[in-house]
Amino acid sequence: MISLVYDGTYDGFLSAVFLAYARKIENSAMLYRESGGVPLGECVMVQTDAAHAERVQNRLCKLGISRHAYKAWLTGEDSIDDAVLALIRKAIADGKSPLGDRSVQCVKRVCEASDRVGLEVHRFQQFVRFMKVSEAPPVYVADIEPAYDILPMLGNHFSARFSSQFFIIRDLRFKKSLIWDRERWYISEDRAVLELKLRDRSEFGKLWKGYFDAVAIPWRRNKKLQAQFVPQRFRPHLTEFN
Amino acid sequence: MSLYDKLTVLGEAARYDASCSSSGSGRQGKKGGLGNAHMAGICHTWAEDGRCVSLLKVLLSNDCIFDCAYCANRRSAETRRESFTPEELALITAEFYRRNYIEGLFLSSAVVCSPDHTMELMLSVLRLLRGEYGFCGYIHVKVIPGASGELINAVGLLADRVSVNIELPSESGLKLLAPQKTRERIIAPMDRIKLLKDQNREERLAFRSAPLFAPAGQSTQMIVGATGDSDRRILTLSSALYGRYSMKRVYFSAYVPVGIHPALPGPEVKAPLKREHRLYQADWLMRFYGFTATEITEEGESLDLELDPKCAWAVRHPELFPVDVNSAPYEALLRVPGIGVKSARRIISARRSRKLDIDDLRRLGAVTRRAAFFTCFGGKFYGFKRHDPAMLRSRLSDDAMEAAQMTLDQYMPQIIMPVGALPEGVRG
Repeated sequence: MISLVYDGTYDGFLSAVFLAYARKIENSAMLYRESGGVPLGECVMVQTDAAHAERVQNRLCKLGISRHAYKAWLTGEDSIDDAVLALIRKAIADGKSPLGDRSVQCVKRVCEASDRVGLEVHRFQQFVRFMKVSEAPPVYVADIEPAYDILPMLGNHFSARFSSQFFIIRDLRFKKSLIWDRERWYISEDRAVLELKLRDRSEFGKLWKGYFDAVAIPWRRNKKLQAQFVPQRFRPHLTEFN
Repeated sequence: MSLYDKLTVLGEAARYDASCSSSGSGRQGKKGGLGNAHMAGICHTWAEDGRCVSLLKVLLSNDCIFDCAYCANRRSAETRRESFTPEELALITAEFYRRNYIEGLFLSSAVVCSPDHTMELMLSVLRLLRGEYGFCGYIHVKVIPGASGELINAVGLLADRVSVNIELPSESGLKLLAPQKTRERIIAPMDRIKLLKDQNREERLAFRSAPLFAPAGQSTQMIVGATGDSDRRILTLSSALYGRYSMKRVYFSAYVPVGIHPALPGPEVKAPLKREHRLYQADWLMRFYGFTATEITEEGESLDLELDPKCAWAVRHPELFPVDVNSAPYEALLRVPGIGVKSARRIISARRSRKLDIDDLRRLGAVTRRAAFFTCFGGKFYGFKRHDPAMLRSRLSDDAMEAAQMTLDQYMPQIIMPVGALPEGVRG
């Protein structure tokens, strides 16, 4: 058993997959992220190589499993890297996407992980709340604390929607921000942006909360159902719950 | 009168409208404009009653000239009367949207002066939003019964969805409880919308740039439990509505006593929430599972409150079960309790490569607690030896399902972790 240790980026992961195939050890290799500590036994450090990563990525695209592989990898769960590698192995061996059959162990594992990431993305399409922090030019800022590093997957959604306003979505957990400058969006890791204390001075937050409380029908009160849809972990950044 | 007071009063007045969907419209945002509709719809939050808040659902005004007995805003009710100006409402919608509170606007209104006057006011809100604000988010407009055809056309060209409430399942109920509304006045706008939408489809085939008319179609809503109509009648009516008017949705709303009226249930009667839930289940069966209204209910009868309609149907038809998971067609799989649209599709695609057993069925996402009684796997059957409706009912009822869930939740942690292994502070 050989352990391949990569730098924790997705390109690094793809390079490790490339290396496993290049050395013909794809059936016995275990993949590890550097941050997870160094494993026992024989251990190879993988150099991240953009060209290798791209070759693997193109192959995964052709096989139709690249999105699921990436989203499952994002969860960073225990042994998810091995499950993704198993999926890639199966896809390459069969010459087609195995995603149709969830009763296969690695397919189920990868699909469920990627569904969780998909749900998290959807959750933040719902639960991002902007504050208007400046009038001229109008700048909107939102804070989120997602379970996975999904910030890049929000870029297209919000920039299509708010193309005429500057906005920043700050990910306080992974310490980065998504910035839309009315032309393009990009991810910034600037700490100074994260540390700014900001608030919305307009009355619309208060109006929204008033409206939110008014539309609940008292005799249908069902806080358990509400908690299923809006789990507690999202509430600190939701205007209507504060 | 402050904006805050208006918004809370008119939001509260609009909350009995059941429709909340923001889906079905792919309206693309324009450069420099505001918003972009999401085809699948997005809910932005859930209120304390567990219902989703997707659109800003408000009345333009609750100052009504009608006196419908089931309505909280009827003329004779003593509530505070408020009205938005179109400018105020457009501003609130845009500002809420910019902060990602909402997906768009659900605009309804009490009848102010006359149906046409009310529609004119609503139309001016739409014109402001679509024109001045360049708003490309979702707009749902409730058409006032009795409004003129031209106004309906104008509204449909700006809105994503239009709807007319059918209100009550029967004409006699309407006559009794909503004397100013007649069946004709409700049906006419529906017909009109259907006609305009069909015309628009042809126009768009000829000219791709022809403006869209209500891209997300029309929907309607009826009140359940205010009159004595059976579920059979409600479901045949909604199936006719789906067929004849190509409705996207028919919503049901459990009647809550709002006033004293000799023909209405008194305040001591609880709102039929369970019945509303069963009707929605039946509605899903008709829309996605290929069932017809006559299969789901018996003549003149209502739905079983203990058993969900699919299980109830399956228990009534032992001759059709068990279904062989490895060979049955998609349509037959869909009719098995515990198998839904997704799991049926997964079964079809998984069984191409190999034979499935009951564990595979579970892994594919079916609810085997239900499906086991109605499926077999190449001759293997895990249900009861004899068809026993009473026994099946007791195993499939909501209570039994909940109990099974409870025992799992209660015992699982103890099985995985002996009490001694729990960290300090967690031990009971």
